[in-house]
Amino acid sequence: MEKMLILKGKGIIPGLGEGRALVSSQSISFWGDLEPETGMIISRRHELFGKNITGKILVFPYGKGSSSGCGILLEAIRCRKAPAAIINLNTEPILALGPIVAEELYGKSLPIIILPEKSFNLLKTDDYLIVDSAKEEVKKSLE
Amino acid sequence: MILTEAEEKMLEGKSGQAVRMAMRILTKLGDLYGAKKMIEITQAHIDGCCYPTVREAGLEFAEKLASLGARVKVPATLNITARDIERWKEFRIPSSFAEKSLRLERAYLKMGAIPTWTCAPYQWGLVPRFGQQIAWAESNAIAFVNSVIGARTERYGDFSDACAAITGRAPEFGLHLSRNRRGKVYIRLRKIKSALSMDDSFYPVFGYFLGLAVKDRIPVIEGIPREVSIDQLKSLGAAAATSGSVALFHILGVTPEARTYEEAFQGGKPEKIVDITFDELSKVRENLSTAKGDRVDLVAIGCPHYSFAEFQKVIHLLGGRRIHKGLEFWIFTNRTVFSWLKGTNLINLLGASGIRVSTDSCIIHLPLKEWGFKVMMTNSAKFAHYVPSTLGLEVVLGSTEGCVKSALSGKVVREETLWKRC
Repeated sequence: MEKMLILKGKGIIPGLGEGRALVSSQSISFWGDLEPETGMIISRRHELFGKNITGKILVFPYGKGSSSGCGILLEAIRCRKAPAAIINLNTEPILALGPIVAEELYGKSLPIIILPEKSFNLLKTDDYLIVDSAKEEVKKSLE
Repeated sequence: MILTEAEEKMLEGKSGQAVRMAMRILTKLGDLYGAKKMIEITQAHIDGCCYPTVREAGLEFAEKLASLGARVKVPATLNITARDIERWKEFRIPSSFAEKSLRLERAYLKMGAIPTWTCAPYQWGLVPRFGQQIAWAESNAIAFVNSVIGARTERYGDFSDACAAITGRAPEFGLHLSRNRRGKVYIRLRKIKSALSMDDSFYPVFGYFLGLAVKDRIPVIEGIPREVSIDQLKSLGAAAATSGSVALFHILGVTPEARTYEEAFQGGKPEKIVDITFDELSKVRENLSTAKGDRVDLVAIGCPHYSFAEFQKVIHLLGGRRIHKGLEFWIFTNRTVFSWLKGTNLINLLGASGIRVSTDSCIIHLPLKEWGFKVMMTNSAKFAHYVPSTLGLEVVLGSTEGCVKSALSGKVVREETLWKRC
């Protein structure tokens, strides 16, 4: 088995997700930044403009702005265009609500974990990551 | 989380399946954020009633709750919907879209919510008192009600707002607790001329700067004049909650939890002190505009919903003149203010000038493809921030004077007097 670096964090929404990282240093407001039917970042003011978050491990420091972010994230989950997991420095309740309601309505989840800043800063776009938020850890491939 | 007997019963489904689902969502949220118990809230403001922000998933959520027999347990006001309920055809809203909005509106009305349809329920809705525990959604309303009124709400969003309304409960965490309302960052306006900090055009720009500077930390602001108006604070909060996660700000000598420096920081010290400069503000202002030339197709103001006093200012600036034929000028407000406009001559003056007034709604959520607009001008930082992504338009941020002059001349007039570099 290939070598993996294990980063310990705090699980917010339990679950397992793996894939390539898409890292943003900017905060994200899903409403206004994301088109939930396609998974595209549509805000021209955002550094991820034009990128697709579907199936990615989306890494960004925290949410911001509109209180409608959870609705858009829920819709992305419904449309199967959500990221495979989210890694934050701090997950605000508005962000966590999308996945919580998704569990109620669709029996589907979206794992979220928070990492301390030192570990968070190690993550780069295209890193291969395994998020296990129930075990409160992120595995980073050292390929 | 420790629940009361009544709350346990809700969770077991003794008060019906809707309450059970709502309680389950709230307890999960509470467990996640370290709440020890639930608190009883006395009112709610629901933001999940705008179709394009919640889409099919949000419609399914609301219709499911309504069909399970959900009823609001506390008075619950409603945020905007995605159409002017009476005049949507005049704004060329496709009927398929209006139909979706109607279904969502009906679901929340069926639950017993109040058809306020406004993003500014703190001005015309159900205004809470100081210290009251409430559950509000809509970022600008949260910022205003926490900061200016001193009621207590965490940042609720679509879904948790309705869950709180249906159960009359909210998990006790975040801004519901005194200790979490302490100021963290000290923002000083010592380098800003008072002529600028008294002007309406200062507040959206300063608010947007504030959100960028403090992100999710609570700012304490020194140097805002005591005469600051409710409408200026409204635009400050809306902008700060757009660029950052500002749910509470303190202004020394102005807001109720900041009568003194000691009170605002709860006896502690700021983590950071920021002396903002004119150049920084000016740069933020420039970045909020994306359009370069002088073309403008639409002037849109009323974010957050315009007050009667703000309408009076526009009427004054118009001076009886009619707007240019080559563009549209829309003002967004709610039914309360609209009824006052109708109760005076203002509605006729607005009509005669060529301005359209829209109620119940907000431009950033309207499907406007049919209009063929390319460039919009506004005086709102929140509109300016969202319009390029949600409507795909280029945008110009100006003052109210600039917006009116542009509407009269048919091309962008940048009213720059106060924003000229010295």
